[in-house]
Amino acid sequence: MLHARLFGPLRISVNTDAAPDVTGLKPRAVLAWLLMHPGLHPRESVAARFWPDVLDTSARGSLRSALWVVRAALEAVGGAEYLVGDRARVGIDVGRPRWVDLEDVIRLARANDPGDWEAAFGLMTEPLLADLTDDWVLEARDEYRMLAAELARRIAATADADGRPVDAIAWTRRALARDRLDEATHRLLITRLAGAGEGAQALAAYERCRVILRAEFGTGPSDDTRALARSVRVDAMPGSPPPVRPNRSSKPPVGALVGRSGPLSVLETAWARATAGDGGVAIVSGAAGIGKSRLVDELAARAGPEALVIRGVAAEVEGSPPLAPWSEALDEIASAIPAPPPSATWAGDLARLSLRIQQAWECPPAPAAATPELERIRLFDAVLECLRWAAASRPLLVILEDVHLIDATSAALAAHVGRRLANTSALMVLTRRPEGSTAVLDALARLNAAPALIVLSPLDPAHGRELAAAVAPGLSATARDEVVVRGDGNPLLIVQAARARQAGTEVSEDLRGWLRPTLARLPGSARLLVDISAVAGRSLDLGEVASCVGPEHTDEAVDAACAAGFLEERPGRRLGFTHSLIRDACYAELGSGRRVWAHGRLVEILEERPRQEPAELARHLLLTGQDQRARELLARAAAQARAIGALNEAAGFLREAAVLADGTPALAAELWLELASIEAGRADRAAVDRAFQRAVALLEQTGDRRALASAWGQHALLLWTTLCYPREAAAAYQRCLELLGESTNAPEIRVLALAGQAKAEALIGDPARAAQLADAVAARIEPSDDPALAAEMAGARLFIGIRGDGGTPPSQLADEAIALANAAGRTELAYTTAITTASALAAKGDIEGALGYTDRALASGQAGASLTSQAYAARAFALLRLGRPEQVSGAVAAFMDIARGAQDPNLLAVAHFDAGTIALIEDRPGVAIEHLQQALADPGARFSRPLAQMYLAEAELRVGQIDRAEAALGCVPFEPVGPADLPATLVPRLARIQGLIAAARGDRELADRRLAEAEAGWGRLQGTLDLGDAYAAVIVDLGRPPVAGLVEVCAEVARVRAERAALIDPSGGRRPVAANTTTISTGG
Amino acid sequence: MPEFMMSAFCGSPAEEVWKLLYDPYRFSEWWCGTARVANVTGDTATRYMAEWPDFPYPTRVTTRSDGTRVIISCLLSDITQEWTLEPDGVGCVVRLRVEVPDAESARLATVRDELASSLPRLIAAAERA
Repeated sequence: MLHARLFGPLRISVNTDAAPDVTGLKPRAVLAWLLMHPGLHPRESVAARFWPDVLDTSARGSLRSALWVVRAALEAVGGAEYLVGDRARVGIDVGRPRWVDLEDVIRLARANDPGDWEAAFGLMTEPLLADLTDDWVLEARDEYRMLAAELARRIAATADADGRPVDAIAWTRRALARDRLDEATHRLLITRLAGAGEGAQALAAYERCRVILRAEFGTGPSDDTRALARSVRVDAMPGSPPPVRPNRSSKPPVGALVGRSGPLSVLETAWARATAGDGGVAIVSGAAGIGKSRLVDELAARAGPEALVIRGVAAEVEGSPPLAPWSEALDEIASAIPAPPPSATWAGDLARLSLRIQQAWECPPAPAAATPELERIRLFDAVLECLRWAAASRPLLVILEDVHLIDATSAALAAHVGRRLANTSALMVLTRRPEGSTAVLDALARLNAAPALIVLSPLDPAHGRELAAAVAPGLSATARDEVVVRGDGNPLLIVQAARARQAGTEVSEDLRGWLRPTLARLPGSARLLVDISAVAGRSLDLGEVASCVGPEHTDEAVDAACAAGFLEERPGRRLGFTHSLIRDACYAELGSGRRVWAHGRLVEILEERPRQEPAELARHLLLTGQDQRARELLARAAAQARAIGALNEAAGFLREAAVLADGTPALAAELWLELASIEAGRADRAAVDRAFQRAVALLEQTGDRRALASAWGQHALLLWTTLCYPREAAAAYQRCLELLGESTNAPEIRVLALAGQAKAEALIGDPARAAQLADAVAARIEPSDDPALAAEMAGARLFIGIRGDGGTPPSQLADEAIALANAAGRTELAYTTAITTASALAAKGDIEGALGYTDRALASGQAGASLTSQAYAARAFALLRLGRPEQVSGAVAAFMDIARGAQDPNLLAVAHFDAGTIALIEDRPGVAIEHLQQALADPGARFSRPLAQMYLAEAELRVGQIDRAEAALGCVPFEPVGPADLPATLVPRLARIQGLIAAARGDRELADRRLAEAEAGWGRLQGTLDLGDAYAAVIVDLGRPPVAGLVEVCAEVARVRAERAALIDPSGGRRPVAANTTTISTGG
Repeated sequence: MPEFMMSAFCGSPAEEVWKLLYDPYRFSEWWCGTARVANVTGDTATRYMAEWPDFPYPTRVTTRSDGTRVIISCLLSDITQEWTLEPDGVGCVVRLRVEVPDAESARLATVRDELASSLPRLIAAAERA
């Protein structure tokens, strides 16, 4: 009989023989899901659940691999027959005897007997599937945690009714341990404790309830609970007043700001402008302890009660989740202002980032976008909308501290927001040290945002003495001078040295030495709080504080740690170090044993929280030596980061997880392949190759050819889709098929590889062979089986049509491909197909048709920034060629805005290239120069660089800058040239510009010679340029279709002839050719 | 793999040499033994030698990814010419590195002679332009 325990780590046995561990997270998750849902399920639905982002055929292939691993584990103990299925279905055989703890839990919970409820509760002592971290597992884990709480409440009620108060109290406590946020259960506990004569414990329970609700929701207990506590208090301590909590402000009072009137004035000016509706960004820069935070605190204090001040602080230790500082700031918005109207859909997007928004605004998180790229755009826009909305009602001061430590995604968001605050009443102030990450500065610079820059210098000795006197008025002049010398102009060090000196410590010590005596005098609870805060490396919320020291000691610990100057209350009911240098000193004071213990204790505290950050937990687990759990959490952190488009962070987490998995090759390979996929999303080809090679090396160790073939298939798909290297994709598909050979039974992988080869052949190989391969694929699948693959094959046939097989017109093939893609729910594919078709039609001169397809793409829904930007660029070029200049600028603005918003340097450079080309054609050479220079500044961007240099030369010429035009032209021989540049066309182009330069210099003879050379060059190309191949070359080399259309040789010949004619008769005007006859070319 | 190098100064700017290298139709102006070029498609062209007028030599013209080298490869023999242009005052220095695959090593001397004659012709053609 099969025994399966799902509570705790997944454990399987058959007839008392324990099955070996199912290797790999996915196979284990699949088995767990099948055990939770016994019976047969369609393979496609199971595959789609676990591999939602890939083609159905690919997902089924992965499912097949996972099931092979599961079957092998069951077979090892003679239980293979429990896994049943056929080509279409798979599942756990319900006809065979089995015992699954979860099924028992459900059965017992439905019974009407408290004994059964206790038995069910007893089966749930460990979390459900503790070794898995999939989202569906986490949801199920919560569901069963709540069921356990409900059972405990029922048992408690029965015990209460039976007159067993001790049992009732114990079970109520168990209910609260499972569901600590349920206020009604807190009331039950208070009532039962009071009823049992335990008044003091009842009041302690009330206090715990108060602390928890304050920490989690920012609210106090309800009227009912407070009334209950009052009645208990009266009974327990007649005549005694209610305990009074000292009233601490959100920031402790600070002394006068010394020596910073200049920087403060700059900030106040920026704030005054913001309050007048002209918002912006200010950056305060300076060394640690120099007073950056103190300066922005002063600004916050002066901002006035009507202002809303929100703050996010980058964590001082690794492992904080992406966007954590922004989550913190958004929490404060949610606490400070009422919920927006339901029409504000951005609130649902933000709820994915902020638990406080979910709770305070009662706003459930909206479903995430289909792709990480889209998700990032949606989140960025949602944050911006939220800030605009908040700033519309009150002036808004956004403080982001320590941005030198900030994660790349938060930095990008800061830049995204920063450049869009101009017409709002919001000021964003960033503090940073000169060392560390410059991500925010770089991102702001890329976006042409111009922040106010404030650099804080050391205090001069006079201000140093003034500061020392303010914090330690009793010091003698000599001692004060000693302190100032020791502080060396650093306000934090001066303050600490002055306090230490006043307390009798020698100032010859360092910061640790100054703090050590004070630390030693702290009460135990306060010292514990300081230690845990030091290992946390970020501020703690009051719930975490209460978990750390116990609710009954919270006030005492917080008061003592704050009074001693270690910690301070921060907005949003948080508690953090007064300065990162103080935190560093306290961390250094922890002995190695205490430090490991403190990290472990922090893990326990964090695991009790309603929302955990896996990256943070992983970091602390690593420091306690629990590598395996850390690895699982890092993989989960990567998935979460990827889901919000934070690909840099996702890659970092996954790389670490993969290294930790090195001892288990199959699992490590799985993680490296996942990393390759993320690196592809970041367009880092070298990193993709490195990750893939690691996976291949590991799979070769295992000798599993099927898994190796599958890995090559996945790699080929990345090369084909995300990275757009069709030639190499074709080679990878070929390798996949070679590994499968004739004998390996892997129909799904085989059909995917054949389909991939068909697409590659359609684009870069022999169209006839492509058609044969597409037929071979069609023979293996039914469109209804895998509509997405059918759509991909229709796309391949479209390419064959574009390359001119002379049969079905491309538009007809395109319509079929788009319909299939839409039917398969593949919006991006439909979008790509529409743009591809538009570009193909433009290349063939059917501009009206091209415009129709760009509009169709744009109307078909949301796509990624790259695709949307392409569609707008294609539209702009089509409108230009149709002579509708009034509509062109809107399309250009749209794609520039999208490219800036995406913060992808390559996309932005390509957008500048497009905008520069369009501006040149529109005869706006100044604008063209600006765009083209920005495009050329990115050496890695994928557009035609020689063409850009020639356009730049022509634009310079038009503004009379002959030398600069010549310089740009002189760069052409040193630019890379590939098939996408249509090399044969570059030479006559270059000769033409040389002719125009000669003409501008008055050398008519040379001008005519060069123009004649250009004319001859174009003439030789007439009738020889294969547009189909040229079109394919652009897609292959530049990763996008030629949205500007392709070169029109006849028009080029005509233009050069006209220019030569004008040379002979210059009365025709400044330039010999009208702007609207300028032909455009490829280059993307 | 056998290889050899040669270089020369050209009195015209790099663009003039570049145009000659990149325009397969003009190979016959400087590349000794080339009678004509046809079928220029993308980055490939078909070269016909005067000595073997009916024998097509498919040839590819491309660059290193950093753009600093023009590569002319014979797709039949795998002999590659790697041309480097370097600005020098009003003119430029033209450098050539030729790699001859082992299978063609018997032709090394012939190829060297052919290109030793072609280089001055290339420079002269550029300076005439």
